[in-house]
Amino acid sequence: MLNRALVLVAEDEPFIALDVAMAVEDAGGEVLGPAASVREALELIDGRDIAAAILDVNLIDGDVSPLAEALIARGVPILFQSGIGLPLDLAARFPDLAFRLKPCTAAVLVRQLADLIAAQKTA
Amino acid sequence: MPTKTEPPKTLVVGIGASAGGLEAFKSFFANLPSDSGMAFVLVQHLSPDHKSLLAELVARSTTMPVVEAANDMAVVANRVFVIPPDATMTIRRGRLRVVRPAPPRESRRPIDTFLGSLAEDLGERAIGIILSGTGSDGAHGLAAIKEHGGLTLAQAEYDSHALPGMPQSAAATGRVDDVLAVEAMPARLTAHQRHLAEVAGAKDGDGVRQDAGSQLAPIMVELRARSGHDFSEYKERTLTRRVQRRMQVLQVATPEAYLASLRDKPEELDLLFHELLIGVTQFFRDPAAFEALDAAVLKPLMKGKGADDEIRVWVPGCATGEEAFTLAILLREAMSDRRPKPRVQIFATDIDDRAIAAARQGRFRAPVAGLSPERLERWFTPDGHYVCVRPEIREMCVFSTHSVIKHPPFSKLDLISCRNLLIYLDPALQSRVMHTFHYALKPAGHLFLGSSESVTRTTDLFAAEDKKARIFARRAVVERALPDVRLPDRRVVVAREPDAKSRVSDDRIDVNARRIMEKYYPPHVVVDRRYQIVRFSGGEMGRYLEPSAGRPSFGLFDILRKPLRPAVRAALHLAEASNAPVRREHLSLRIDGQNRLVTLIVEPMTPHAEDGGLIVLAFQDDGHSVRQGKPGPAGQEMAERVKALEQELLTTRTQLQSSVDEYETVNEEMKSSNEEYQSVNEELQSTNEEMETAKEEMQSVNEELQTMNAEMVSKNEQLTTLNSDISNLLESTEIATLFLDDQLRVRSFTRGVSEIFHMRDSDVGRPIAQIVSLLHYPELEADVKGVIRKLVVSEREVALRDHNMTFNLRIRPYRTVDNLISGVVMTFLDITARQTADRSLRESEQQFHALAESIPQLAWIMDADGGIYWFNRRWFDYTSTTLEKMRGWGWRDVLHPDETDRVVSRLKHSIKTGELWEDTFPLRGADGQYRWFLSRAEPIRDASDQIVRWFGTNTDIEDQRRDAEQQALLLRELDHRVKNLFAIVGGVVTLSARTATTPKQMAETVQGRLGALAKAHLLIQGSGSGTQHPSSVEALVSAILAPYQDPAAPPDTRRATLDGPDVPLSGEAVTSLALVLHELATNAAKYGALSTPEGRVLISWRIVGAELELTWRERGGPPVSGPPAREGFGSLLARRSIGGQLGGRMTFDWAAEGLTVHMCAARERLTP
Repeated sequence: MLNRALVLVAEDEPFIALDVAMAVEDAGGEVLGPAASVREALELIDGRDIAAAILDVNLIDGDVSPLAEALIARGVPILFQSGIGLPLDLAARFPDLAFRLKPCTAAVLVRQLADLIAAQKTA
Repeated sequence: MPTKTEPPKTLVVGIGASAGGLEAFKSFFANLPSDSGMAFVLVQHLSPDHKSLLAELVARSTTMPVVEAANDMAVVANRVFVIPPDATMTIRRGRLRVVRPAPPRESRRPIDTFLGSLAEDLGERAIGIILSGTGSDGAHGLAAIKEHGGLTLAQAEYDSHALPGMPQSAAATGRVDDVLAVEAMPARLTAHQRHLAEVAGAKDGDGVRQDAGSQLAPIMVELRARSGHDFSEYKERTLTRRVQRRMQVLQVATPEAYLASLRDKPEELDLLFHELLIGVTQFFRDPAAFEALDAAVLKPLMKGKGADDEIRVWVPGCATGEEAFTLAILLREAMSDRRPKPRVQIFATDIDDRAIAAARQGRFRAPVAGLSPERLERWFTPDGHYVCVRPEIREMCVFSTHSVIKHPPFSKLDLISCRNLLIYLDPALQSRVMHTFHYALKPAGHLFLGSSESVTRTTDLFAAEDKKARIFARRAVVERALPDVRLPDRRVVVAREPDAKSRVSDDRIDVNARRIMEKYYPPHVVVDRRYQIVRFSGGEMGRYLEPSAGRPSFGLFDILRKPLRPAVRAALHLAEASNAPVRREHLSLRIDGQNRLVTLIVEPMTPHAEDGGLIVLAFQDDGHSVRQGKPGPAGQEMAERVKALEQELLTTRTQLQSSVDEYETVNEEMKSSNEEYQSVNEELQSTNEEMETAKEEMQSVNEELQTMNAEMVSKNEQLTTLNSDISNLLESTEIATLFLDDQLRVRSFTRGVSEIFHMRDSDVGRPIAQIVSLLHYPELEADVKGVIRKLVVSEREVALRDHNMTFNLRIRPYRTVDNLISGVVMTFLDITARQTADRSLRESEQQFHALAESIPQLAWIMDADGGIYWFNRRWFDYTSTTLEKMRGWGWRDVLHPDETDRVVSRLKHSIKTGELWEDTFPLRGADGQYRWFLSRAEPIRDASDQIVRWFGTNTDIEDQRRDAEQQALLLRELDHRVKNLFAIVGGVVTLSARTATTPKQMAETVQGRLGALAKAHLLIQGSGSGTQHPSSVEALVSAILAPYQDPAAPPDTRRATLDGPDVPLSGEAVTSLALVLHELATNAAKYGALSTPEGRVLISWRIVGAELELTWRERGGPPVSGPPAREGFGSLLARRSIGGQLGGRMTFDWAAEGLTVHMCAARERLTP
């Protein structure tokens, strides 16, 4: 389904990170990460061609906004998932960002991810 | 002027009525035969835009044709003409003139207009009737008819049809011949018509009866006797017309009969008198002339006049005062912008006392003719149907009864306005009046005459300045005498004239020659006609003179030697009589003891008048008398006889001489007495003139005094009313008031004072010190004196001796109207009740303060306008400020600046609306820190529900606020965690499903993992207190491995051994570490050391640098055959956890004797 697309997973909660990563792999995608911190994620994406990203809103070193901005700058579609919601300033600046409230099933997550990648490609 | 070219044969009756006059018209015509031979013209006040039905309505009550008047319609007998609406109608040469539209309402006087033209057109054939109506319209028209010889009637006041107004006004002018009921008028008209027909034959071409003049002289005598005024010098024609008119009114056929009726009824003389005085006058009559007068005379007159200057104007023949008031208005307007204003006196006089009485009232029936609306507004005040001249105009005019002919004139006048008076006087009287005016005016004075008058006969006295407006300037003429006062010539020939003349001509040669010749001249003197010596010749002259005792004199007979006097006197008389020289020889004179003969020469000088008839007297000495040396040739007897005769002659001569002397003395005395009489006479004459002037002034002063007296009377009434008002006021205030004079004597007091002092009405005038006082106030006198001295109000509380009453005593200087201090006013205000109230108020205030200070809140009181004026102590303690800084709105200083605008605007809103105020905001404390307060303020209202003040508190809510914040934070955190937990549980379930083969296995895995999470949570969160507290590595490891331990077993038999330092743990990391340890323990229980009873797990940890190093070592379990083919899910999870969340590493050593796991984690992640 994901056709070997490289997907960044940034999630500090091990269970969820593993769950998401395995769901992506199960769907035919390749996982970059999972990264538990913004710093780690930024190191990982350096020089890599990423098809999409699944980000938790809060990582261990704080707000995911710097990572999100870097990804948006590179035109990478992002799917956020969070237990509480997007950071307010991020939501204000990028109102079109995709967002899912945790917990959600892997199937739903993967389908949305595929839609995002497809949308990005056609764009 | 009457036009006599085509007089209508018939009488024309002009009838005026107002809009309501229809009834009167009807009853008038109902009593009139249709063939009366008279024409009737009805003039009514009609609404201009309203079609009048008058003609139709009148037609119903008469058989005469009734037509609405049209222009150029001939007025014919036995017909009624009705004025059309919105038109001005006049009559000229027997034809009606109708002009449309009518003038605006305020200046419309249709009845006056028509009657005026009727008078001029028909003269004595005009009849004016005024019926009911309102206003003064018609009065002038009647006057004009009367003046031109017509008949005037007015409706009787009691007539049922009459509205008040018009007829009274017409009658009030004294110009109505008869006041009758409407029904009686037709009969009066026919009688009048008959009378005119009877006397028609006796009239000349101008309609003046030839015979009427025959009795004029006796009539005038009668009139003078009755009225005191002499009309004999009035124009005869005028007099005749007036007498004739009276005869017509009375329907008397002959002048003799009229004279008889005058003698029978003296009242008729009064009527005739007023008939003669008829004059048409109005405000600004002939406006152009007044404009010219204003510009040429009044305005220039006003220039350069200050407050001390006086402008004097005389209006002789002022009638009812319109002309005088017109001048007053013009003068007032001319000085309106001047400051200071000069004093203006307008003497308005008339011989008609009724007119003067009317003029003094200054009250005129509205509408007033001739006045512009602006002037009417500015100078008059409305008074019902009348308008009154404003006081400032009235006060400029002095009205008095005075005859310009009979009485001495006013003097030093700037202007005389005498309009339409001279036309009634005959030329001689005119001339005399003009001389009077000339005398009365100041050198630069002006004379203002009527439009048909002039000064033609006295152009030497007045020069025309504006011919058209009839303004004349007084010419400067040397002769300035009252022509009317027939006094002897006041000029006295001054005796000194020759003296002055003699100095004139002498030149030097003459003088020198004369001096040489003097010694050859006979000595001489020059005397004047009064025998005063004006020249001495010098030389021998002294021989003939002899100074007499007493005052030095130049009188010839005073200093001439006595023996010469008789001869000189005789010679002088002869010379004067004959005007020729006289010579007397051989006059005997004893000089220096010798008898000498003297020749006397008396010769008048040139007979020219200017020399004053000087006479020269010369004396020639003829040598010694020879008579004694030559005895006569007769005998002794003869000689004796001669001697005796001589002796007798000598005696006689001596006697004669003394008689002559005596006579001369008496004569001189007589002469000097005569001179004295002459000068006394002169003095008397000038005194007399002064007296007359003074009399005039006295008359004006008297007039003023009368006016003032009337004013004073009314002022007095006002004062009485005022006085009563004041005493009522004083009583009603119930404030005891005591007036003391500057000697501290009681001036007056109100009733309340008797409760404080034992005072009765008879105590007025007694010193206050003598009056028994109930007050405990010994300083009273000193205080009163202090007030008088310092002129400041003193106020204090005084109590009665028995203390049951307290007064607020105020002592105030008593200032008279002219601001002089004359004692004091003491007011005693009973404040007993107030004091009681004050006391209870003070108590309640104390209670309030005690309460306000005891509450834990900050408290304050604010006035109705928002100014805070009281704070409790707690406020100052908290803010560490002072009342001075906080007062009003100063408290904003301690309010947090971010909140100021909002707080202030909300507070102001409450102040405005009276709503309860509640707000929370931070206030700065003494330490500079802000604390939050809940602030409330409630309005306190008085009995009338008006807010008088606000009471407010600030309650410290800082702690509650902080707690609430904390709670909110916790709730948010909790929410986050719960959501996270759900996410984790979701992850646990999906992940566990990947490895589980049976539901049971799945449930166990999930159960175990959730159990580990729960333990970690329990470790961190404690027993649900909500606050996290740190745990330690040891506590965590013990908790995870607890299911595999027997807590009761001794330490050496335990399955798991823990070894490491006390490392604190906290935060998220605890969960991750717990999961990793749980996975390791689960694997060990399934496959490793914990799956056998002998197996042991050794867990040790230490701190290496910034990392926690933890080693999991299994021993004694089943032998390990190398790492598993595929990494187990548990280890994958553990590795990821350590690598991800704890930022560490994890290595597995699958040795045969047992698994050893090494973990490193950053310390900072464990204890964030």
